Amino acid sequence: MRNLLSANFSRLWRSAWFWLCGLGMLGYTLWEVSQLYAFRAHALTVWEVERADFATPRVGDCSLLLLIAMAVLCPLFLNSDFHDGTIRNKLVVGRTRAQVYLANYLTMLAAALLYTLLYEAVLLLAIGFTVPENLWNAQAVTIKLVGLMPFILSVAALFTLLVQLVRSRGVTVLSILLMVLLLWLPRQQFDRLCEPEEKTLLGGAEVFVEVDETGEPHQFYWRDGQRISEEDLETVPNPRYLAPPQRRLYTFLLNFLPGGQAFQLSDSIDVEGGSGPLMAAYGLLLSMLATGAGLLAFRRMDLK
Amino acid sequence: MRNLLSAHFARLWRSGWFWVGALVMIWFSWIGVDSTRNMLNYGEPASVLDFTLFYVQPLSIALPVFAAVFLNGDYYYGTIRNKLATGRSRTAIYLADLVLIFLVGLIYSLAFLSINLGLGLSLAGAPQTDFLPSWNDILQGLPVSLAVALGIAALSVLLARLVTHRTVPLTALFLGMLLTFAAQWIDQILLIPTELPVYDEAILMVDDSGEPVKGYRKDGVDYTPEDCPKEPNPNCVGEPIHALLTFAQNFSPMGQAYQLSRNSVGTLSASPAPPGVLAAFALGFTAVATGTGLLVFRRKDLK
Repeated sequence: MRNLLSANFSRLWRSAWFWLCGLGMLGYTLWEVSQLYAFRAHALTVWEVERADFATPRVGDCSLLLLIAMAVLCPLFLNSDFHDGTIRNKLVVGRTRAQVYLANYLTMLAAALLYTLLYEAVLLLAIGFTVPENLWNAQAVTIKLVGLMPFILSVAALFTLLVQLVRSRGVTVLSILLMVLLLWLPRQQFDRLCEPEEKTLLGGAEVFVEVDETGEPHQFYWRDGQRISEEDLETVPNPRYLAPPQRRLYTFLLNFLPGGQAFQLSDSIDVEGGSGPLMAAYGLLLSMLATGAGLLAFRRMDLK
Repeated sequence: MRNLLSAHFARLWRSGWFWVGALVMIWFSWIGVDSTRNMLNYGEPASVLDFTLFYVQPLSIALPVFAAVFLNGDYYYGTIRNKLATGRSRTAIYLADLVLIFLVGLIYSLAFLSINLGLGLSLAGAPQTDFLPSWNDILQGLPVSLAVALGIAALSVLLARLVTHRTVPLTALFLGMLLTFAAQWIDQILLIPTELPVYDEAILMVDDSGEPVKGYRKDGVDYTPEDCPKEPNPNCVGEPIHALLTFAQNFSPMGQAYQLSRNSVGTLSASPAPPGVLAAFALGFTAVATGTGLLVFRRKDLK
């Protein structure tokens, strides 16, 4: 196993894809830091805030890009085992299929951890040295970092599973399709979960917005040449409102699948019933299920 | 040529990638139907016809990726040498590829349209009002969209035949996405108005029918947006660049696809070329791409 890992790592350091994805991660990190500076300037000048916690909300923001990076790196790096035929060499010298699979999984896991380390190091050092207004909350930051770990385990496991079981050189396309699906599904599900139980019928009324003396926008309605209020409009049950059984399913998927977890870890959506420990448990469960299924299937696979 | 096409089709139906591409087209079509259904639920004006001509946009990514995966097999498995050894000319191979990829594009388009019109009309509907596309608009736009699909097929074959490396599907994906984003970006630039209204504050005026409308107040006088004094917009792009960007938007298949799909939702596009002009650009692009591809492919060292 040690030899397999050593061979994988020496190939990883020389792999252009590893460095390209790392560069992408660095680029995203620098963009995140520039957004932080803009936010800090706005908070200090417009909201007149003296100190605030800038670090905690941003610590989990690498989750989305990590999903994308793994979707690109795993197939490009691991598929060459099939393409170059090196998998046969590994099996001929006496390594078991389980060892080959696990070595590949651990290599991809290491790459994901390195990318996360890059993001967190640059972000936290930038805040530490250049944002003196930051109010550090070490406990919250640590909890967020720990919460990222099961997510990283599950993402690496899922993409390793895909790439190890699909020999075709087009697996990169499949991997990217899976990543797009994992990122698209949570937004659809979250939008449906946010649908109200009742909807307002305009009934011919038009909606306008006016700004009062304090600069606050207000919505008002106009029907048949008369101004009316929102209470005058009729409400009916919303057909797109999700009934409880479906709500539970959507909430489960949002917490279980890596896409929904990525959005929650980066504070993009707030799911009712979603919590850090629950997502961590699901992340560990998914990584064990994916690795177990992958090991089983890989052992039976015809490697030609 | 007939043997080449017959061999392609025999491989096509058994290729998983073909079915994956079709599923992607069906998925995009479903997104449009669901979005229309959602808007109609809230009483917003919407129609599935808004998305009918939109099929060219996912096609501009799905078809190059499929062509890259499918045609690259010739290089990967060495079957191209068999085709040449049995006496087929490189021109015949290239043109057979173009016919195949265009036909796959048509099948993908039909998959999209079957969901959009078949399912969409029953689940959502196609109300006919002033701001929504009419059936006439769709009938006029369909032949143009077929010309654009041919241009996309030509680009796909050009890329797939000239790049032999096994990562060409990824290149095709990035190129498709890059050109689609470029089309959106160029459209935004072309949308920048040449003049901006000069005013002290924006106000709400009441027009002749008693409806509130947006107006501008300058020096105590209220103006409508049309009457308000204007000044040149410093952010507007200068003339040589503006003409270049307009040409690029009309010549690129992704730019054509963007204009076609935007046209169907009203005048959101900055430079909607008339349908005949757009079709001519699409056919022109096909000729240039195919001509270039043939020239390079005939001289290429196929090892």
